[in-house]
Amino acid sequence: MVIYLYLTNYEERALDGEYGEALEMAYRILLSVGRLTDASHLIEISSAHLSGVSYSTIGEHGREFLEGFSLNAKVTIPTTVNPAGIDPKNPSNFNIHEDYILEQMKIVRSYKKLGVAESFTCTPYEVVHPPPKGGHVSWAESSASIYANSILDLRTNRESALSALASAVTGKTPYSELHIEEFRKPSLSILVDTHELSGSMKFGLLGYFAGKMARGPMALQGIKSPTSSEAKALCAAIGTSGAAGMFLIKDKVDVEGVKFDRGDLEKTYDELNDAEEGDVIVLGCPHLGLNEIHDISDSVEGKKFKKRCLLFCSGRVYEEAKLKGYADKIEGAGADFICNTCAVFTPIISHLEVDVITTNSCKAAHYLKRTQNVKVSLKETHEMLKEVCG
Amino acid sequence: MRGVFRARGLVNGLEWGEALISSSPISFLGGVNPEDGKIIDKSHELFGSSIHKKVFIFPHSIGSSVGAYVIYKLKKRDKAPSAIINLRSDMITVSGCAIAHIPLVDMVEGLSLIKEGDDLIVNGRDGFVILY
Repeated sequence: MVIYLYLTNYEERALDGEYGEALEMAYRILLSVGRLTDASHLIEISSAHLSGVSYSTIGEHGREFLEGFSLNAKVTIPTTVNPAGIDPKNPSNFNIHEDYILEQMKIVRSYKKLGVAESFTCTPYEVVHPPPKGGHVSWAESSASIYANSILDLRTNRESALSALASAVTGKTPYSELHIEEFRKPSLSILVDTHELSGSMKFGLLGYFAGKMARGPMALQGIKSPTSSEAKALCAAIGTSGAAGMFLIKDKVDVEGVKFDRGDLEKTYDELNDAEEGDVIVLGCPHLGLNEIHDISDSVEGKKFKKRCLLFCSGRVYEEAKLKGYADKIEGAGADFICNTCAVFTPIISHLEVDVITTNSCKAAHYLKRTQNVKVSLKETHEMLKEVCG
Repeated sequence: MRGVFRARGLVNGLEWGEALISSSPISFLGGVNPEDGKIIDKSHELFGSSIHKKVFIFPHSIGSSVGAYVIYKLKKRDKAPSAIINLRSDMITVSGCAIAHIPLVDMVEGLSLIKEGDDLIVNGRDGFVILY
């Protein structure tokens, strides 16, 4: 255990309030989190990603804090932010109650004041170019931090809304846990023993299972290298069911192993799936990337959706999909894009007044059931599109 | 009994108050009313008690990370505990105490010797608790 967290003279002075209240508070957060995680000192980081944007997650208490904090604070490094509860660029869509819109827009205004990039996405790596490999960052949003560590070869802990905010303002983070090479070694191996794993839903099921098993970094054995879509689903599911912050795909590791076989796959599916068919299709948890939208547009071109279909992505990705003509094909088939909004932490879902939602996302399945009082029908994308878009 | 107990200092600050002890974890969001500092979770062993001005001792926080903002709001409404002692702290309590300026320590050596109502001083910077 580190018993003393070293601070530079500058950091000490900031902590004493010499550079204003916001920096004092930011350094208080970093110092306290650093002590909790046994950090020896603070290190510089090249980017931050903030959670705590949707009013459905942080509520009035979070809104109140941000209004105060943003009065005299600015981010000092490139900083992206998570989706909001409604599209801040089109707040009046979907007839959401005006009180909710007002509260959400206050939160957005606070973040704008802080000087963040208005990315409103849980997949910042698809909207802004991620920092070079090996770099230290401070990313909240578990699916993004696991993706950063495991796929982008960046170094971040699973930050909270507040610790990532403190990092964005100071440009620093405690040097602890996943920032340190020796703590990035897997302590558990998941031995995948099923018919070759493919598809976002199945990778999500593996992640949901693995997240419960591993407390720290894990090795996944016996799987092919995932596509970006599968990797996003895997990361999101690991972040949903447990506390682990990264995985490696590696066939030779010398650590304790846990098997993931066909039975485990089915059991995990049964845990998340509770209906054969849904009333509405929800795709985009995590947010859809351009390649995923391209794939969907190919399979629905010239057809018509028999059920309502909602696709969640960032405004930036939607604009690109529009330019490339993918969005028109999908909208032509009758589906709707919802931009800059989370598929789960939004009042839009309860406004639909449906009982069952079809999704390919294990993360969405987990949270929709718990927060939106709906049942979930879990399916692979191609499977559901075949059924409802002919 | 009197004594000085070593602890891990997490959030700086020096405060005092009477010990209020919970053997079970607490969710600040939904578990504590930020307007009056009372525990409102009916299933909690301290249901109805006020944490205002107390040295609140509990294992760790559970539930939503929004709990951190509830701790901040308690402080803004002047209904916060004066200090917090955890068995083993967590991100929610640490970040909440950091933004609310509430001294926080954990891993106190000999914590079981501290009883309900004891007068305590908590030093969050240097990491110790005084029972006087």
